[in-house]
Amino acid sequence: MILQTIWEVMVKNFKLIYRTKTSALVILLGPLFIVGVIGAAFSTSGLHSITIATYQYGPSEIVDDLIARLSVKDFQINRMETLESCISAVKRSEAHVCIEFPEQFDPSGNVSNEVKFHLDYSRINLAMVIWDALSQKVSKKSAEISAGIVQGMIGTIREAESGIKDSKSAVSKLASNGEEINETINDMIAQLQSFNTTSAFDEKQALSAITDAEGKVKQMKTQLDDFQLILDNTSDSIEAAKADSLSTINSISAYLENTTEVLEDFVSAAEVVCAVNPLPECAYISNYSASVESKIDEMGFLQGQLEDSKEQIESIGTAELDQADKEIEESYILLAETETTIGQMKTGLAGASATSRSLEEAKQNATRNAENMRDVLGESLKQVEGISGQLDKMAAEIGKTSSIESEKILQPIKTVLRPVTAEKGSFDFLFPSLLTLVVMFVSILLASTTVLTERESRAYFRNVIAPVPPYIFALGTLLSNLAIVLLQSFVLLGIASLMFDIQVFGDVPGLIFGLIVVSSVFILIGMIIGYSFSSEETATIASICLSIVLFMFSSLVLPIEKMAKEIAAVATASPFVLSEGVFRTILIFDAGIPWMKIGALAVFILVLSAFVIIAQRATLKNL
Amino acid sequence: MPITLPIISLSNVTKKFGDKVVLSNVNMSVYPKEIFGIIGVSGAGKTTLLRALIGFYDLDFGSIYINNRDVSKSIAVVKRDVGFCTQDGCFYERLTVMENLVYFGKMYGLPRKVIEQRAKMLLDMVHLSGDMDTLAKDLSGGMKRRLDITCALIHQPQLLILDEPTVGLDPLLRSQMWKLIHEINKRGTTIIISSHLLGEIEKMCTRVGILSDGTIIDVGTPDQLRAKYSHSEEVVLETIPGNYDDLVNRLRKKGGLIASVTHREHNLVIYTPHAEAVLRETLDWVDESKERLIEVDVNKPSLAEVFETLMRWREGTKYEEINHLKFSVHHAHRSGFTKEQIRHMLLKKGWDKKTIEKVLSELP
Repeated sequence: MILQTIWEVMVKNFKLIYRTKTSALVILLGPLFIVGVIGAAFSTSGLHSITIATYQYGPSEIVDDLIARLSVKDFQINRMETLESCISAVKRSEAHVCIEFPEQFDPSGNVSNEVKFHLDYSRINLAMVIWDALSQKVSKKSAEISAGIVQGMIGTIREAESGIKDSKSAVSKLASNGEEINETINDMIAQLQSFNTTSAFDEKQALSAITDAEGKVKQMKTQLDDFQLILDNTSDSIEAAKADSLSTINSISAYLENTTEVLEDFVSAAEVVCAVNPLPECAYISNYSASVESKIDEMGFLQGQLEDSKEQIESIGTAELDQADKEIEESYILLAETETTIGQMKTGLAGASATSRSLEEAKQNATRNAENMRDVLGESLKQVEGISGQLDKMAAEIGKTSSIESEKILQPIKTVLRPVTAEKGSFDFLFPSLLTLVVMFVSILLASTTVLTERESRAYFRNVIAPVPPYIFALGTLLSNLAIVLLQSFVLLGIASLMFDIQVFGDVPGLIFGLIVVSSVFILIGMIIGYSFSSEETATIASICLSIVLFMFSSLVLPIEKMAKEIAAVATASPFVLSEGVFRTILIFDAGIPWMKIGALAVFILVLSAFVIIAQRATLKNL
Repeated sequence: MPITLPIISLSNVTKKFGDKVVLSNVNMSVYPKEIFGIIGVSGAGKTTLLRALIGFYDLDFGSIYINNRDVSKSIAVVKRDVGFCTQDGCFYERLTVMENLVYFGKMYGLPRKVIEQRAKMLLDMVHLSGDMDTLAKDLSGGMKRRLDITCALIHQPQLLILDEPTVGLDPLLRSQMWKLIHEINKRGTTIIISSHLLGEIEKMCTRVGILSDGTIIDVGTPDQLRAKYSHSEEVVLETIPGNYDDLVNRLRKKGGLIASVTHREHNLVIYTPHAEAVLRETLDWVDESKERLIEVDVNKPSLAEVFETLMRWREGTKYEEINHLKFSVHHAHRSGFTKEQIRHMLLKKGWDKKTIEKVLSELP
């Protein structure tokens, strides 16, 4: 019975609207007109007819290259003689932006390479778009320059790595020389041992043994000289490689630290933005932030690696080298002593008056010296082996650092900067907002007009005195308006799909559900206006004013994030912003029904319904 | 003789809008199959009274019973027993005649077949059968009134309330409308009708209630009211060229023949307690003068005269009452009562605030 009555009210409303030919035309042709005009205007992702004035303080290849890039397709470039004329061009609307390149534009140097954009902020949307487009171009060039710098740093590390490798081969040679000296000492000791000082004394044999020992000492001296030279060279080249490596590692480390800070800022900024304004994009921003955070971790790990390398490199062995150097010095002294002793033996032998006892003493001294020298040399060789091991480690650490790709250091974010949707034209992104706008305006205006027409109709009195509860009429008005708004929305969606190839029918049930909820909210608002005002003119003005307020307090004109915090919080919960979010999620992201937003809109429906009933009762008293 | 119970019974019905008392202690009853007329000056509260009958307003005091049911408690049932027509056409201009009837029939929960049967019968009665599919906006003024009545009758109410049904219609259409009302009444529907066209009310209504300042000051048949409030008859005279001054002077010289004199279009209307003497003098005057007699008629005074007399009497009474009040207030003030004390006393006696404040403002 109630349903039948509601149906009759709806049928009556349809007939009344249908019989007004202009209304029927507006319902069908309105969306066609809106989509046609806006679609044709915005179905491109590029910028056209943008004029850029540029000013550079002096000739610069990099600036020229940058300007050439800007002028390739999108922008018309006007080079200005002075900064004032450049800025004036923007003020006079002859240019949309003035770009001021720094006085010494040298990205590889230590000067501030700040490119200034002078924009007309009274046209804030255009300013943002231009700034975004230009920033992309400039960033691209900036990235190329940075890539060159980082590539140079990696090159330096690789050079250090090859220096270490050279040092390693020198150390190997040092070890083999040490082995040869060792063998010489062993030979000398053997010869000294074979020299019999107690039995039959053979002067010739003694002389020959002493001469051999003397020769061995000279040979040892030469070998020690070589050893000393290689040691010195190795020490120098290790120091140089160490210094280069440490400086480059420090630079990379600082670079990574800055980049990490930027990324962390981005993540926290994204968190703040999403806390204030839980846009549907926030789900993607959250994933994106997670990805960035993993990159930050990766960079932290990279930095840890670099720190390890730095420590390893810093700890590498000048101490061992110094120790080896000292020990070589000791070997020199011992060798000199041995040489002296052998000289004494030779002198004693030449005087033929030497006793077997003194010879034996001399022999023992020479043997002891040679043995000491062998021990010292043995220690030196051990040190050299230690150095060799540490050089291996250092080469490995530097190898790790030099194997890091410059791209990874330079643009760690590049891997996560993927658009969450397929590349689309402006109209695709604009469409959910347009749909919300059309639904809002049509619903509010249609509902307020329907209610006022009904109230002004003499038949309203007959409805009121009929044995039907007033809410049935309100429900009938809501449903008939809803049907008309849905019809109009589908005309709009159909045109958008057919004419502009916008994917609107990906989730038809979700879309219909969203449309019903969103339209209901705005129709109820329109009905309250219709019941609250007593003339069609004032109701229309009120409807338009309210629609404009809702429109202004959305991200369509300025981002909500630019508003005062408290107002932004309220604006975020406005029906328009919630509705836009619903359509954005369903149409652009194809991510199903956003239940949180739908829930908030359902609360609006309940509250507004209560207000409709109250407002309707108030009008009945004034009939 | 069986006792007939009233279809409508009003007891001490009082309705205020803010401080303004629009209906004050209205008491009246309407019996089945009556055509009950309510007359009153503009702003007397006729429309408010009629709307109160269908439960449109919450009463401040009193009760209304329709078919022995309290309107305030059984509004949904009562609404089915009543049809209502205002002076404006209460239907949708952009629906056809038939669509309007179907829609309003559905609002009363009638099945479509029943609606169609009744619509056919009613449209025959109001002579709109040939315009079933015509948009209401394309109907003439008289046809619109008839459609409005049809809409009010589609659910076959026992009681039809008509608020100024003939206002704005030409004499021919008014006549047709009254015929229709009579026809509806003949079929058993009780009719309550308000109008300021007293001549029509007098002709058509079985009983009349006179409403003044929100109060029914009297109820009765037109004859009862005339007998009660007028002891004179009226002589209506039409002559050519119509120089009636000589006649009026001649009658006045006779003394006691004229109660009052008035003009109605080209006619002279003489109210007199001695109609025969006035008629004789008038005919003599016609013979003696150059006047050519067109028409002369002797009537009982009309309801209009009764109404005018009553209103004058009401105004006079009121004037006297207020004068007396002023005197009392000044006396009390001179005796040392403050304005506040006087206000309090007058409120207790039931005087309305507006009158009290007006009288108090005249105090020094």
